[in-house]
Amino acid sequence: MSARKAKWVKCAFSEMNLTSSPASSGATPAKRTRRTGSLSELSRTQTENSSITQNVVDLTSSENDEEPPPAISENWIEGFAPSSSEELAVHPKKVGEVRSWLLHCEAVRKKFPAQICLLTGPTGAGKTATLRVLAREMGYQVQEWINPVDCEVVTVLGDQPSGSGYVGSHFEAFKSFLLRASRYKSLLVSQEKRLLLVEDFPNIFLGEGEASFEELLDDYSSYGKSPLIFIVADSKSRGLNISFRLFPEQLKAKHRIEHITFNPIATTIMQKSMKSFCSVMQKPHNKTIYKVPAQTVLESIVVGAQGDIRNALINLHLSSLLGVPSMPTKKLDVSVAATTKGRKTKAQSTLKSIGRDESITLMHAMGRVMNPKINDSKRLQHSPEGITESFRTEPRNFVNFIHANYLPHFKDIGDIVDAIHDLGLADCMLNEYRDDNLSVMGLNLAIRGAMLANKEPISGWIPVRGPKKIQVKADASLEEQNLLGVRYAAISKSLYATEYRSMVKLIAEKLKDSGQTTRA
Amino acid sequence: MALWVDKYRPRELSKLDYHKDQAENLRNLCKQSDFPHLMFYGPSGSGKKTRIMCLLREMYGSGVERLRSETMTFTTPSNRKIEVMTVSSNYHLEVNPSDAGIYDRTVVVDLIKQVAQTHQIEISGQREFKVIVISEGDELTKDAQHALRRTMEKYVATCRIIISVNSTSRIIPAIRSRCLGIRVSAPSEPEIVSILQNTCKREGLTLPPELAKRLVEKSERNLRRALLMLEAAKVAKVPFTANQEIPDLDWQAFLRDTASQIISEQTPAKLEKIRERLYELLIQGVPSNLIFRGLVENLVNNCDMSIKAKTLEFATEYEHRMQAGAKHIFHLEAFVAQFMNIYKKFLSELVLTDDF
Amino acid sequence: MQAFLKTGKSGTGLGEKQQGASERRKPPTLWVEKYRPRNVDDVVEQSEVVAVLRKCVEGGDLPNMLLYGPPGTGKTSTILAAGRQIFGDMYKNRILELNASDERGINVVRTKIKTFSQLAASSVRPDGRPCPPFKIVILDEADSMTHAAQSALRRTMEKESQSTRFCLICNYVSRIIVPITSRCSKFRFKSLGEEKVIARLQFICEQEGVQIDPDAYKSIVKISGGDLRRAITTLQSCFRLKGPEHTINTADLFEMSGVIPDYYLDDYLEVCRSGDYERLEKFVRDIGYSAYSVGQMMEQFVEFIVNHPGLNDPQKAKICDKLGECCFRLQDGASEYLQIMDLGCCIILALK
Repeated sequence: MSARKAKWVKCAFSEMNLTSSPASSGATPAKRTRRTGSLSELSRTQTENSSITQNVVDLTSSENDEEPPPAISENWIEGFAPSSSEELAVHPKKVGEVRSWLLHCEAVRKKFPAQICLLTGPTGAGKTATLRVLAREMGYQVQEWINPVDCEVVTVLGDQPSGSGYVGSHFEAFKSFLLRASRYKSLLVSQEKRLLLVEDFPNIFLGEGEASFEELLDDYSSYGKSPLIFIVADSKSRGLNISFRLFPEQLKAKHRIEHITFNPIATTIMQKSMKSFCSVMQKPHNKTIYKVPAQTVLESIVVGAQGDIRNALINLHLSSLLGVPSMPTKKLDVSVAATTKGRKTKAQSTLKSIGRDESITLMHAMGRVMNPKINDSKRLQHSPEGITESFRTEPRNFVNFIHANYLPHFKDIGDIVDAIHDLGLADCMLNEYRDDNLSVMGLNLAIRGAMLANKEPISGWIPVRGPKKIQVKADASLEEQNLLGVRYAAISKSLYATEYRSMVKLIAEKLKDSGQTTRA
Repeated sequence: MALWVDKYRPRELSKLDYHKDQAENLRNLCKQSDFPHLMFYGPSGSGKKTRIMCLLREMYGSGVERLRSETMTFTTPSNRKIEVMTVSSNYHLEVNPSDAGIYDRTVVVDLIKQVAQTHQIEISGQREFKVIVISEGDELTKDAQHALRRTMEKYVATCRIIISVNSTSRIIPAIRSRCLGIRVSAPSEPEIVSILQNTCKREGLTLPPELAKRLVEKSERNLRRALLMLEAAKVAKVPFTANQEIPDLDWQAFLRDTASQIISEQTPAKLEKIRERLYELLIQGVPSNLIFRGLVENLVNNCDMSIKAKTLEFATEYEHRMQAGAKHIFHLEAFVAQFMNIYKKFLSELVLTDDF
Repeated sequence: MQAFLKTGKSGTGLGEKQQGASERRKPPTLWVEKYRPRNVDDVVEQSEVVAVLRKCVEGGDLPNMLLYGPPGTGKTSTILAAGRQIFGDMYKNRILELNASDERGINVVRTKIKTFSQLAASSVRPDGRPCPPFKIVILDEADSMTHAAQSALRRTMEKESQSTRFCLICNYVSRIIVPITSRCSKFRFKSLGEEKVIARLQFICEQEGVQIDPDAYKSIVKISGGDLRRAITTLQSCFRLKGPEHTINTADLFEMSGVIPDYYLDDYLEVCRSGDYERLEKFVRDIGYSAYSVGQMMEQFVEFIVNHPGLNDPQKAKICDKLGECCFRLQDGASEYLQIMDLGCCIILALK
């Protein structure tokens, strides 16, 4: 280690000498983006330097080679951004919807300038891209709200903002953005038409800000001067789903909010755009960075992305980014071959490494567990390991789901015995917190139990139910508590339920009745 | 307005209705300067708590009867707040840590620390220690019991602990050996009858002997239950008649009904219905080990010996597992499924033998 | 809570006050402490150990020691007595005793034990008489120390061997890591014989003026199973509970210690022999009402079954197999009722 370090230091010095030498600049690729120019030069000199020192020490050179210098611009993804509406990977119909809404805005611009639109859809469905492309084509200037990292407002008197003032200021800032940005245009921009975009919701609305948000929209529709667009990505849980919480139906109806829902990008379109990405990669200035991956890899990327084009693009970027291909070191080639090979084999199976986090959804997996398919070779079509793997982060939850749903799929009580036996065992294993592996084993056991125990599954559509949460009933009623007096506090819930409740209830009811009659 | 159970609860050791020898022993204990940790054990409704209160009164005088209830808040290591209700007087504090679930360790340790670290300032006329009464000590987790043992030793100068448990089996030996065990067996049937009769006399009612007998039978030698049933019966109908209806414990009736449903049909659909019923019981707060016991008692009635043995074998296995697991419903359901399976086989074999 | 923490003012009579004050003067003594042997020769039984220790004491030196054996056989007493004999009145300063209830994690080993053992011990007493120049660290219940703590101890033991002797006391020598056992001379303590225990108990009863039924001695031995400490504690508890006027008899002792009378075991087997499930159920309920611990019952039942003349070996094997399982589950907190019913059913089937 220390030896290596010493070499590093040495390298740094020798590099300094080299950068000043004019001989190195000859081989630099001509075109580079501004930012990366210096970087790549530096890295190139480093590699060259290493090739020089190679005969001196092998360690450093291999270290440098293994990590090819990132000669890509930071915003590489923009290089692939669609430049026209034809290039969009979104279904033309959706693009058309957005375009017609924008046209509609144009039409009523004089009378009702403050039109509001809501775009929803899964992540990576191309919502933002569509909007940006169309806005450019139609000559809109997009002004986007971005949450300020910190906004301290010092009041007129110079006081420090108080806690509540801080929250207020965030909200105020957003409000003034909405109302002012649409009215006053920037001096530097010549474009006439503006478009307000809110993708980044102020945090205050994520909590309990529904009412104030509605007020804000009321204000906006009466004073606003430009179309306003909200972009919201779908999320799984309802609590976090902004489109659901902030935009209830009546609000949409009130302000005639145009709601356009994007679908995940279809596989065929995705494949097409992958091809176009590849062609972008082959452009001369990109050639130094990318190597077009094999067709199988492309396919697996498309499958793994599940309609998320951004995800697909990132995967494509990573899988084709192999460093400068002209670098002729042997070691590099070997490692590259290994990685591509590895990726290929994975791609053919389930594509875990570059797939999305949860490549199968809960419902999907439930279906696989409840209706196990046996293939020709008498093996389960969907391996329990695969399912286990995708739910290893929340085994308890999945086991509860199995328990809530397995019964209707069974025909014979004898089979149930086996299944519930395994579920019970899994429960015990999951409860053992001292060993992490045990929880995965438990989950696996539960899944296998449910899949294999069922000899003749009942097929057909059976709705999936969520697991039941047991909330032990609240304490005794007030009358009952009064009857017991102070001692009530010392009686545990279970004791109360088993010994007291049935009788005390009767007595308390009677007492209440008699109390009412005497008062009457 | 208090329930008869509390109204006619004996307040002094000398006034206890049964186990009089033991009461005498407890008085002996109080006479001495030192006082060990105590563990009262006996079935539910046998009068453990009554004896503990009498003992405290013997030691501290009537001041212990000035009770107040308070909710104490504890913070677990994982920063979770738990609230526990306590009943206390100037001399003692009564707590039921079982409601804290798996956080009972925090409750036990923090509580004893808080109590024990404050010395009695005005020492005259009092003992130099306070008493912490832990009810349902057998519901404490092993972890909490070990913690209790440590704290018991550490603060022995300023506090004594009285644990009330249903059975000593669940108490770790280390605690058992540090406490003086006081066995409180359930009152005998004649004893309960006489207590019921006395109570009625003081209320100015007459209790027909037949009704008293039925009450005793129904109460399963649980005095608290018997008294509550008596009062509930009084509410329903006075004056008492010999064949008057005695109200049932509703969870027991529910469980009986559940068992007969299991006997009636053994299909997955039925199992699903049973599951709903079990959920209902759990939601009511009935502890799952009582559900297990009740199911077994009601299920084995009309089977032959081999089925009975098998049922018990499965019951013990799943009940044991339930202690290790977290989702009690899984194990209850597993037991019901197993029983359905063996019972179904048993029935089909019956049919076969009938054919011959 | 606050009110509870404050001292109650509502008081008791004046007479009681004075009484309470006078009582506080004399702290109660445990007989176990009171009757600990004062010198090595007083130690009951354990003749070999005593012989070795006597030599050591005469020579004024001790090796590092590991004392092991069943509880209540005099391990702690022996080393304390030896220490007392060696150091005389300097006893308090020269001995550090830690038992399982003290914090004994690796930190304590690193700090408390280390600091204590690094203190120099002079070879003369304040009054000028000679005194052995070392200290003793006694680690009681050493088998409950973590392995990490034990390993940390290893180094300290070696380094401070000049001035400090270590004495580890445990029930099971297998729980002590080998590097430590190899550094100590091991002494095994045997279970005490019945006569020795009785003799000791008789001595205590005479000293304390306890009235006791002669037969009761045997019961104490039976309850305590050769554990002298437990025997003495049982005796004292019983004495406390019953008061000095009462003559302690066997029944009192059984009641006190929660031991189940033998006729329950006989009845249980009899009920099972009848093969009647209803009778079994009733019997089990009765046990529940009587508040006896099922765990205790099963423990006694093991011996009962093993020595029972009326059962053949396959039956015993079957029953004991189930018994083991039931005991294990009970330990884990399973329901008493179900376990003992299950055992009953098993016995019924085994006896058929």
